[in-house]
Amino acid sequence: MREHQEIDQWLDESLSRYADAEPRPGLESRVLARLAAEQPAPRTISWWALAFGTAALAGLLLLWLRPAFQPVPAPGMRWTAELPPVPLSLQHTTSPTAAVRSERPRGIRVALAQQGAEAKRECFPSPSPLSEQEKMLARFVENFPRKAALVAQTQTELYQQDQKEMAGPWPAREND
Amino acid sequence: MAEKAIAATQEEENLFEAAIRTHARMVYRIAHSVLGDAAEAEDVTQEVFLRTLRQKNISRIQDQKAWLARVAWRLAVERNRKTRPTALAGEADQVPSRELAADEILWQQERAAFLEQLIEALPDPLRHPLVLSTLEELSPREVAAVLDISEAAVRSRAFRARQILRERLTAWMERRR
Repeated sequence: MREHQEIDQWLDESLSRYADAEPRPGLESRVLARLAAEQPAPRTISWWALAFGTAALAGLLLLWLRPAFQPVPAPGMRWTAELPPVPLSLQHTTSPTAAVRSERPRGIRVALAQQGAEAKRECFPSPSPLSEQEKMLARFVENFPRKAALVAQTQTELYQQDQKEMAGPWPAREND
Repeated sequence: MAEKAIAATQEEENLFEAAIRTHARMVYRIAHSVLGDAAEAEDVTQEVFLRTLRQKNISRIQDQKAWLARVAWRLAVERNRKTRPTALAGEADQVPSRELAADEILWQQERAAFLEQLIEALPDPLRHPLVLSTLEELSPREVAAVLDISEAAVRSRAFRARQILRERLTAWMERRR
């Protein structure tokens, strides 16, 4: 019986060598160093590449979508409903662009004209409040409609007279 | 998004480092129990973590200890098959001559060497449960998971291995008398 216990004790001693096997100090550090040495290019680089790629894609998308944006007028800015009429004498009826324009299909021109009209309608009335001068003018027209009509008629006549003089033959210089 | 990804990678690296610091010693002992050689055991330890890093995210491993123990055991067994001589069973039957054991110290050394040979000579299905059961880091359930057998099988095989060792050692001692 005693011999049996001794044998068991010897067996345990021998097996404990397996259990108590100790690595050289610094095993963990050596493993970490080996992993750091053998690890392929750090993953952070690929993530950086992904981030840059995403940013570039977003930029391209913005550039692509940019023409679709409608310009928003600044608070102080006013849109003019109409441009002043251009005198007939200044119009180039025979210009090459006019010829090209006349060759366009009529349907497209009508559509473009409608589009322009709609755009103008969207801009009128002015989104900004009237200026002080405009308000004064409005009050003047409201209070003195006859005088206002007279002034307007005089202004129109003066404008037309100017146009006629501009369109007519220029006087020769005295020095010539 | 990129910042989250970088943070996740950093977290993964921290987890991996923590796993190395916690389990490297256990991995080494498992490898050593199979291979019986310090340098080989350290090579296997490094190989275990390298493979784990390449193959799987550590955060996705539910039971890191069991996973690493299993990989360590498999790699060690695989390496042992390549390097270990197959004639250990025959060596274990050889009885050292009595002239070598001149005094008690020599007798103890001789006995320990013989026992080591006996353990190495055990067939793998008996030796692995016996040796892994001695590692304090592994519970019987974890040993069973590593070897992919039931806990009952682990106990019975370890018991059978001890029985064989006891019988052979008794026979060796009787021959020496």
